[in-house]
Amino acid sequence: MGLEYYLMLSALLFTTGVVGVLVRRNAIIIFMCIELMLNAANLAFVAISRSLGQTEGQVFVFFVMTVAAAEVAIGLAIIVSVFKHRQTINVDEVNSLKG
Amino acid sequence: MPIDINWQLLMPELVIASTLLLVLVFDMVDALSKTVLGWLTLVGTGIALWVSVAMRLDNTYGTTFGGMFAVDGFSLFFNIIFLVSTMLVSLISINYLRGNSAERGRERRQGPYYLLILLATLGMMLMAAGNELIVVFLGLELMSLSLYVLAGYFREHSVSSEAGMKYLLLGAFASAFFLYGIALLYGGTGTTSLPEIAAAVASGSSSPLLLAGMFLLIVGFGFKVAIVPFHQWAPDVYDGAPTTVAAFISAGPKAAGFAAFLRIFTETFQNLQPEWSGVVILLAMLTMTGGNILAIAQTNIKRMLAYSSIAHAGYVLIGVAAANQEGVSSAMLYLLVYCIMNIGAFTAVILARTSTGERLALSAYAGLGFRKPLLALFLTVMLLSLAGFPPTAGFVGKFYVFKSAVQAGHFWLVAIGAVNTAISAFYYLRVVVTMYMREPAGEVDVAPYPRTLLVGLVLAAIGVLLIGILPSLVLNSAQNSAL
Repeated sequence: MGLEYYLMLSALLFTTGVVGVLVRRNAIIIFMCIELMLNAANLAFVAISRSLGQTEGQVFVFFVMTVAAAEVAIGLAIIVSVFKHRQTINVDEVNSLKG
Repeated sequence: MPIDINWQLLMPELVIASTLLLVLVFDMVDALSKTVLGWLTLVGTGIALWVSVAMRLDNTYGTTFGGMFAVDGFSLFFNIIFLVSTMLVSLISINYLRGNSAERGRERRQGPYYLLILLATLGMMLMAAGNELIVVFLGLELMSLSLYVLAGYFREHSVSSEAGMKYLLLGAFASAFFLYGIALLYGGTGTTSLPEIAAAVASGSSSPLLLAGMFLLIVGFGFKVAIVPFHQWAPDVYDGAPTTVAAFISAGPKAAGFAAFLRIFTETFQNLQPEWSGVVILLAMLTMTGGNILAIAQTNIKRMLAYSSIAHAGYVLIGVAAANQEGVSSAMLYLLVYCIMNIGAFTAVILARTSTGERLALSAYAGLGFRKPLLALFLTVMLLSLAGFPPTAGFVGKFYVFKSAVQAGHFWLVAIGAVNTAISAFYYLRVVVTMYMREPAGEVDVAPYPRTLLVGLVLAAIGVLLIGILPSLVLNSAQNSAL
């Protein structure tokens, strides 16, 4: 199958993630949408690397997955800490900083 | 395949990595006063700074890790910027963390704080030296992840957690754009190595994937260095984060973002300049004007400094837009100056604290000029420098940035920059006027000076005046280091 199908799917996933981040208000769902964006990039990496017959792109995916795992660990910890203060993780209600 | 690793080129990074391991080990020794950790960080970054300066003077340049890591004048100059910022921030943190824990009657954990500062510094150094998009991405993430935690470091304060969450969500969003940009560039050129991408671009390849990837990188960097319209996180994060962390986030990471931006756009995408230069010019205009106009409306000094730092990113973008050697070196000089004066300004804000907490409202600065003359004097120096008055470093920085843009023929950009400098003088001077000429509403509540904060402020002021009076000290170095 042609590379363009994979890239189209990846672009679709990425767009879904972006729209999700902009539309959803729950911090954890926003975070999941960001993970979706990272995975869209991963898909693009793997597909391109396969079509070029290289292994580099597939190695990058491992790096990205490691980074994403670290990001989730830190992100959930911060979200839990916000929840402890406010009993909500709706980003519209967490708004004591503004001006 | 054996890979030759030239450890000598990695010396500054290795020193930072060893320091952070030492901090980690010393943090476990309960008998030790935790203040030692701050001094250890200070000494470690000091050694790394000395090593970087020595390497810069000996021209110890080269690439290692199979060309993924490039040590050149450019990366070493940026190392100097990061390490000077980290030193100043760890110096002011020593008393800041202790002061806070004394107020609350319990010990605040200091180990993780310095560990995260050092990790973030390591990430910045990787970004400046990364000669491969994946290395730049890893550096960016190492830096950003440490900063998310630092922004939310005062867990018992709800605003600090909130700042951490906002920074995390928008920062991770930006990282995803950056990564997708890398993926598309990989698709467009078949490589992620910057020199190879440059070769592909020079050979005339300009596939839609390449261009789309390039613009996604601009969006990613735009978030990281807070340029309008990707700036919304900055004021909230600076406001909510511990003030030393706000000083840190406003200085080093911004310089690191620009380091990677400059290397990728002015070197790798040199031949695509017609495509990106218009966008960068537009962003520079929006960032300067937006940052300055929003800063006028602020009543909280931390938010005012946040918007002012957005505006300063706009001035740096003028240097990027010029995209000649002059432009790059003036942007580097501006970033060095900006880091010193911005950390100085935040330090002065911490020092101006009242006996109950931080003095954040601008109106609370009334009468401070007579009650705390020394502090008011230093704060005035920092604000004048931020506004770009001679004989301070801010003037030198702006002068060379504008000069480079004139040489590149961007007269409109310079005109808008000059108008913005005038606008910014209004809100910087407003603080000075409030300090010296407004009658305080009642008795001015002041707190004694913590020692290391004062030392940090004096050092920053010396730096600002020294570069302002003798710009050749760093100007030649910046000019020789440009790509």
